[in-house]
Amino acid sequence: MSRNPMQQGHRSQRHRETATTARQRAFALSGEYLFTVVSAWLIPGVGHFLLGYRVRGLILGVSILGLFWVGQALAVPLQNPSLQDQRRYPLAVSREVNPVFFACQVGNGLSTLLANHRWGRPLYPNQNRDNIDRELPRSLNLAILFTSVSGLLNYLLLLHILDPRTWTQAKAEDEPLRGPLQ
Amino acid sequence: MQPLPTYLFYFLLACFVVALTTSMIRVRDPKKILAESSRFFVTVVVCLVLFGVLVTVLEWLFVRPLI
Repeated sequence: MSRNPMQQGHRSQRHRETATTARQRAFALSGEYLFTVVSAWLIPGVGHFLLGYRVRGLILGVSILGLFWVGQALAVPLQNPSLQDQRRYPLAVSREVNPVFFACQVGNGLSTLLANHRWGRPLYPNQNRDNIDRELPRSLNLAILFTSVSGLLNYLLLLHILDPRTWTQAKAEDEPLRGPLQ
Repeated sequence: MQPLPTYLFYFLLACFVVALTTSMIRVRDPKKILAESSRFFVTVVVCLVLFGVLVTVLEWLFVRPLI
C-alpha cells in the first residue's frame, strides 16, 4: 500500500515540531533541577551521574575527590614523640585559618564541610602572635593547593550542570546511542 | 622520596586531573577526550616549566649577586 507523499510530509513536519518542543521542554526550573545542582555541589560527579552520564560522572568524581583527599593526606603532621598533644589530623581545610582558600575548597561541598567541622579548628588562639610552629607538615602548601584546585574544578562541573544546554542535550539523546564515556 | 621528585610528581598529578576534568566537560568522544587532555596537559606542563626557568634565570641574574 503506497502512502500519500503529502501525508508523509505533514507527518515528518509534525514529528520535527514535536521533537523541537520536547527539547525546549527538557529544561525547566524544577525540583529535579535543584536536587541535581545541590547534589552536584555536595558530591563531585553526582550531577553528571544523575543526568545519565554515568561513566563520566564516576571518573570526574573519583578524580576530584581523589585530588581533595590526597591533599588532605598531605596535610597530616608527622608523628613526633616530643609533642605532648598528637595532632594527627589534616590541617589543609580550615575556614578560620585560611578563609580565602576555604572559598575555593568549599566547591567540594560535603567533603570540605565535613573536614572543616571535624578538623578545622585553629591550633592556636591567635595565629599571628604565636611562634612559628615547626611541627607543621612540610607539604601543607601543596595540600592547600590540591584541596583548592579540586574545589575550583567542582565549581566548573557545577557550572556545566547549571547550564540549560546540558539538560537539553542530555534529554534529547537516546540512551543506546551514547558512547561508553557519555 | 626527595622533595623535588615529590613536588614534580604532585605537580604532574594536579596538571593531569585539571586537564582531564576540563576536557571531559568540553568534549564527548573518548578519543577526543584523550587527545584534548594530552594536549592540555602538555601545554600546561611546558608553560609552567618555561615560567619556572624564567624565574630561575631572573633569580640567578638579580638576586644571587646580592647574597
